[in-house]
Parts: sequence; structure tokens; C-alpha cells
Amino acid sequence: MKTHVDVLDTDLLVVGGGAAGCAAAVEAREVAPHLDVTLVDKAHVSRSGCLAMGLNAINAYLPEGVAVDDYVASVRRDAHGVMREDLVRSLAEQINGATHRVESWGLPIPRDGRGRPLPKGPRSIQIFGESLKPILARRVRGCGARVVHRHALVDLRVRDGAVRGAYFLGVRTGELLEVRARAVILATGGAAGLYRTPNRGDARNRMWYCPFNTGAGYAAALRAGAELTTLEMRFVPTRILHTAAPTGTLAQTFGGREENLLGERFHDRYARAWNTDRLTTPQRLRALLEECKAGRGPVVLRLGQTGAGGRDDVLGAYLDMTPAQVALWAAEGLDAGGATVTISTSGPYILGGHTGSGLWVDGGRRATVPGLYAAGDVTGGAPKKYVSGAWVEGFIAARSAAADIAAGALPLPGPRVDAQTEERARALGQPAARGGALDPTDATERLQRVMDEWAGGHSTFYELHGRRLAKARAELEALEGDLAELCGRDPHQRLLAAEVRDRVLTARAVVAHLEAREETRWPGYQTRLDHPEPRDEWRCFVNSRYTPDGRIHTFRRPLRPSPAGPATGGAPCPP
Amino acid sequence: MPAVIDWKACDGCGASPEPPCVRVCPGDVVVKDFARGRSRLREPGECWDCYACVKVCPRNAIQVALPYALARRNGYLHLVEHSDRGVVWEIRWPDGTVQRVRRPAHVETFEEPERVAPDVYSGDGI
Repeated sequence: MKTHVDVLDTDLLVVGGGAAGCAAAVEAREVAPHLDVTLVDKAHVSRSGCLAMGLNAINAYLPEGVAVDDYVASVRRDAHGVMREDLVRSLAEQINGATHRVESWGLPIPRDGRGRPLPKGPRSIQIFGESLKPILARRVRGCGARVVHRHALVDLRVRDGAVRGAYFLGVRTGELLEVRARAVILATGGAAGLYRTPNRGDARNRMWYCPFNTGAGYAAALRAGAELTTLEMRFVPTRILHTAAPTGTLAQTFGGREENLLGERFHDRYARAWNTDRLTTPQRLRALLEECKAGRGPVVLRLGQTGAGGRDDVLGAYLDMTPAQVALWAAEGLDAGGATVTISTSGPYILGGHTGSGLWVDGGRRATVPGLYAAGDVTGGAPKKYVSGAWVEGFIAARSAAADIAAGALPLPGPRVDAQTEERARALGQPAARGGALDPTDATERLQRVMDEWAGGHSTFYELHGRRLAKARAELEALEGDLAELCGRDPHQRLLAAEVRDRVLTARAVVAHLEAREETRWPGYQTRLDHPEPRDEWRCFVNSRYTPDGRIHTFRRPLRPSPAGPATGGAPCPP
Repeated sequence: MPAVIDWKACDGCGASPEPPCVRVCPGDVVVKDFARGRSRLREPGECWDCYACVKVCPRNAIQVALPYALARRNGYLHLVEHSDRGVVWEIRWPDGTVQRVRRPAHVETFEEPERVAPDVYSGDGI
């Protein structure tokens, strides 16, 4: 059969048009106006990715009086010690600047009488962010970067051990686009949909994180030989029952406090039992799960007095971020002050914006393969970076890539359409040609069942056991073998096929990380029933690489690594 | 709880090959049914309920409906306006009262040509 290939040459390729990707494109054009910059998005930049609904707060921001050191210490505490100090510090130093730069692009930030942004929590501020994505899109359009919509990442383009562009599936055309570039910034977001969620049928994609963020960047990076870190620190947020809408706004802005079915505030009880003065985010999750297991669930948030605006402020905050939640309140009613909102948990999700999961990078956000950079949720080592941290990482990655290109370190790409690209196009066309037997939706459902039942999903209180994980590993390998039979009747089904392929590889890597860490580092996120305590020897990173024979090789790296150079191993994990 | 497109109100944006609802969907879930001249969801279960299509529809023909299993019959939110003047939502409460909430908004849906690469390669034997 004949499959044709679109070819596009550029200096700097940015993959993904979310917070990090938009920031990277704008910064690259500002610091190096001579560079040809191309941003490729799988959807449309004006409403793509996890910010499509909007956002009501900047959750990483240093208010007056909070020092960088205090900020870094708070992240370290919540990460139970496992984070990259250098990366988190660089974010702390630059998140306010990034926030106000985006404010200058048109993001409305409400302020008090003295001109200070209104606080949300201790290290966050409120925004009017319903149109955050359109505002970023407008700035990208004005920066002179070429924007290519409706092209989903299939793989990175590796030549002579370096990343020199990427391959995309045309979501409308069903055909292959080859972008040849001197450098690639990966900003594809994290991974949802690895695990089955409680919603079913037509509501099955009603989840917190964007279901169209499929782990494409993790999977492509693995296949390109790049090193990943901390995938075992899964993110399991407490979220509002049914809609999986965020709870932080209710807890921080409107004084919501967790109570169990009996009306008890139970956090202090767990804090005493666990000998701490204040629970970390993973510990609060674990406490909620323990209450549910003990038959004292579900847990509710009881709202405090909601201030002058009362109910209207609550509604506005959610309309700007998760309108479906207000639709649910429209059905159920919502009393101002003293109302209760039933909460549950959502996920697990894999994303570097909340936990530490993602590509292993140096301070310049260079990955371990030359020519590859990473920013935002796809990048690891720096938990709690949120949207402002994603902007900072986009800015940093763009400056590094521009500097490396200027230094001549990244030569021009090789010959036009070579044998590797022809093979790629053939593979893309193959499923349709074979008329395959496996529907991508069925494969996704199988993946989500396996992960839920054997790799610590919602139905098992997210608990893990080495024997269950071994079963998960075997089931995922069998599933991956079946993916050769995926069908791709039309462009959309080819997209779904590419997505499940990426999800399965990402899930395999997550399971390998979960198997490797033989302790419980983050209760709730990563509770190992067979290793229930934290252990000092695991105060380190678990990293991984994909081997040529198709295995996920895990190894340890110390908390304070030397600057990340080429991937050279590290201490092996115990067998 | 997917987006629901009212086919009495939707006109497929006339001859538009890519109506705004199709353009902005982050999941490639909304498509134009050219035979019927309307937009539709390819598969309701793929919808994330992000309201992007609701906000850009020039006919105000799209709503997001919470399924009966979650919210019985009243899980609706009505969009009154979405423009650079703001986004205005209407909430109909169980007690019959109707409330409107206005929030700041910005509209931006720039178009890019679908086929981006001027250079199309057709290899022999591919």
C-alpha cells in the first residue's frame, strides 16, 4: 500500500501546546528570534490538554514573606524527602516572575487594596483563569512560532544517538508527519487512563486529569532511550464524588475540613498515631482511605463560613475550573456556609506537575539523550510545580535548547526521508492494511482492568504487593504482544491505537518502578503491603530505561546526583 | 456525561469544513456529520465534559448533561454568553430560583491550515 509522508524542517520543535509548551515556544522566539520554532499540538492550542476547562489558582507562588528556602523545605517535606533540590529551587526562584509574565499576556489576577494578589492557600493565589488556554494561545500566535494543530506524537526521531525531530500522526489525515529538527522540547503532559476509574459508560472519561494526556511523552522518551524517574510516586488526589473535581479550592479558599461519616475530624488522630505535627498530602490521603476501610466513609468536606461572596464565590471558582461540578450542584443544591461536599479519590495518575514522575533532566531541562529537552508534567524530579512551574520549565528548556543550537552542539538533521522514516510510515499504515482484530477501546479497557486489579487501583484502596505487581507485569507483557493486532479503520481509531500503545508502555514502566521500590515511601500513593515502612536505603530515586530487548531496566540514583550526563546506569535495584 | 448537541439549533455552521466545536475539542471527539449538516460526538464515552465546545458554539446549541445515574434530571448548566466581555452562566436551582454568574473571559480560536507541510513525500514501495 502507499502511505505518504509530510516532511517539515525546523530549528526547534516543541511537542505539546499546554502551559509548558506555550511558554517554551514564546521564550525561544524571544531569546533567539532567528530560530525557526514549530509547536505541534494533538488538538488545538486554544483549548487543548489539562487546562482546557480553565484554572482558578496559581498553586505554586511565593507570597510576601515566604523565602525560597521555606518553599523548597515545604516541597521536600510533602515529597517525603525524594525530590531534586536543584530543580525545585530553580522553580521557587522563578514561579512569581513566570506568573506575572503570563499576567502581562492577559491573565486576570485579582488583587487586594494594597495591590497584592489574593491568596488561595499559604503558597498559592487566585486567578480568573477560565480563558487561560485562549490567553496562552494568543501569545503563541503573536510570537512568530509556527503552530501545527491536530498532530499527535507517535515517536521521537532518533539519528546517531541524538533526538533530531519527531513523528506525528495527522489526527484528521491519518498520515505520518515527519518533523526534522535540531532540538526537541517534549511538553506532552502526563498520563491519565492507565487505571480504571469509578465512572462508567458515557461518564467513563469524567476524571480529574485530562483523559487525552496519554503518556505519549513518557513512552516516546522510553523508546528513544531516555531515562525516567519516580514513576512509582503516583498521584491519587482527593476529589469530589462523581465529578472528580478538585477539592483544594473548598479546603483552602472556603475553609473546608474533612469529616468522616460520624462527623469526626480524624486528621489529628492519624497525626498522633504517625508521630507528626501535620499530615503530608500522601498521609492525608492514607488517613481518608483508612477511614473508608474501617467503615467510617465516605468522607465529606464541611465548608467554613465562605466570606462576603458566600456561595457565589464558590460557584465562580468552580465555573472557572470544572463547570461540571456546578452542574452537579445545580441538581443537588448547595448551601452557603456549613455545607458538606462528599469526597472520594481519583486516579492514580502519573504526572510530574504534582508528584515527581517524568523525564530525568539536568538543571537546563536537558534529558539524557542529546537534542531532547523536557518541561511540565512530562518532566520529573520536581513535585508540586503546577502550572507556574510548568511555565518556568518551558522558559528554561527553551533557553537551554537555543543556547545549545547557537553553540553548534546540535547539527542539522540528516538526509531527507530515509529508510527509518519509510519503515515508520509502513508501520503506521499496517493496522489498517491488516484490518486487525483488536479494537483500541477494548485494549484500553483491558489495560485499565489489569492496572486496577493488580497494580493498586481504586478498587484495592491503591495498595500494592510484590506478588500482585508480578502478575500485573505478566499481564501487561501479554497485552503488549496483542497490540500488533490493533485495528485502525480511520484516522481517529489510529489515534486511539497510538494512545493505547503509549499507555501500555507507560504502565509497564510504572509497574517496574513500583516493583523496584521495596518500602512504603508515600503512604496512599505507594503503599506496599509487603514492605509497609519507609527505609533509609530507599532515600534515593528509582530511575528506568527501556532496553533494546524490550525490558524496563530500573536502577537507583542518589538524591543529590552529579549533573545528569549521558545515561550511564547507576546502582542496580536489588533483584 | 457527555456534551449533547441540539440538532434543532445546530446547523453545522453552514459550509464550514471545521465548525468551532470540532476545532476546539481537545479529544477529537466532536465531528461534523456532513451528510446531515450537523455536529455530533463520535462516541459519548470519550467526552471529558470540558465545555470547550459549549463555549464556542455560535448557535448556543450544545449543553453538557450529567447522566441520570449521577444527578437525576437536573444536572445542567446553561451558557448565556461567552465573549471578551465575559462568560455568563445560568444555574437553575432545585427550588426553582435562577441565578446568573459572570466571570472574566477571553475568546481566541485562531485557525491554521489543516495540511501544514508544503513538502509531501511519496516514497516508492511505501
